[in-house]
Amino acid sequence: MRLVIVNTLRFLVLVLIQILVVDQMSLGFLGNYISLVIYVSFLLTFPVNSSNYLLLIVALILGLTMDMFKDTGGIHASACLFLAYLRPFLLRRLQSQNPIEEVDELTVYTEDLQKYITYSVLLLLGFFFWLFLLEEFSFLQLPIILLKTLLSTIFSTILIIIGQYLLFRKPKN
Amino acid sequence: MKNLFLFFNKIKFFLFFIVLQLIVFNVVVTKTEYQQSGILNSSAQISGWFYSLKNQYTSYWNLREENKILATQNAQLKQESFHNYTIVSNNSITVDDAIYSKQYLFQPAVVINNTTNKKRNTITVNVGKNKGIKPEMGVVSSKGIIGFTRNVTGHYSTAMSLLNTELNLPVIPKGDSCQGTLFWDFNDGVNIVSVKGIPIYYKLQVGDTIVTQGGAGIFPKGEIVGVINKKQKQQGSNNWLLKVKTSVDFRVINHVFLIENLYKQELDSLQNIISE
Repeated sequence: MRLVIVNTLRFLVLVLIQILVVDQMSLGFLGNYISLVIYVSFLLTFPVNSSNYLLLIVALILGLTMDMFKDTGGIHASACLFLAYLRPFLLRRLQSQNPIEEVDELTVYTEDLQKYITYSVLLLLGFFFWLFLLEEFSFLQLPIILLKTLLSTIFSTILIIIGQYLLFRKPKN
Repeated sequence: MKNLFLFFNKIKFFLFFIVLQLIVFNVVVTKTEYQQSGILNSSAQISGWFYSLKNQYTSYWNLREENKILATQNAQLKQESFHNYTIVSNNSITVDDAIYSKQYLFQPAVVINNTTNKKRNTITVNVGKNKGIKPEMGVVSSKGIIGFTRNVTGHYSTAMSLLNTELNLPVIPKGDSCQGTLFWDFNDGVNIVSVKGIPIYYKLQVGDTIVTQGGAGIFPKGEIVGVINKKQKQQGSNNWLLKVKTSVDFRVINHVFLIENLYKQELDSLQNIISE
């Protein structure tokens, strides 16, 4: 029950920060190549023990909310779904190497920082590649898509990590 | 049969993912068709209300700039006033107002949301069906044209800005009649649009003003688009490819006017007869 309340609040707060703060930042000409997202942090930290199907449905709702505010049709929803689909496979892979502790959620506090960055970067690469591919809707622009994917992943990962240190509370042990 | 069930059991997560993607793709695809997106745009009630709330607070930040613009516009309008003219000729002036009839109506509006870094940028304004706004009405500011409306709901509407790769608008150099097509190349960035299709034997200079042609019925003739920044020959043809710096700074738009063409329906039905 506590987890449901915490995650609902987190959903609202992250969507508000994305729309009111991050989307209002002007990056000059770099703005054409970098798309900053922080709301994906919600999907990264989603409780590990919950059903993967629930994660997909939540990702769909989150993506559609973003699309409504950003006027992007459905590309954010689609990219969120892709990220949610990739997450269980990646978790299984990471777990087999060195086990992720039995925790409710995956934040920078519960994981080793280096491992968490690897995890975020891999998921965000998939997310942004899918997003920009759908935005262009052609393989002809592949170099541009890859460049945008790379730059956006780097900056968004930094934003998400810093955001988690600032917004999330350290679990009491 | 048992194997088949086992197989489906194995890929059911993948199948669920595909089903959800198909639902989303239905939204993406219907969006590209003209004016089809109903719920998923920022003129929808919830997000429209939210953005207007945000605008209530953030609009204070550039009041100084807005005042300056309004003051210059007031001065301009005062200059055009009838009382500023003295009679030079001895003949009496007759103003025959029966031969004029109003074609364009201007309506003020406030921009509540605005994007510049996407391929298809949009602008949300705080007027909708309640103020008689329809799709395909021009949006201009006191400096120049901005775009035209596409989706309209009860109290809000979204407009396609000039910074949109789907843009296609007839324009002319000021005081000339050779028609070109205005479009936007994403790689040029914000505030630079392009014009193609003007033959190379027209002498154009860097610094010439580009204005609307008025043929599409959305804008009146002669609304300012911007000035020519760079001119080059279009590859493989005898036409200019002009880069135009827009007179509006798309990063800062606040007060705009929506233009209604009272004869638009008449014009459209006439042009449809010709094209059939």
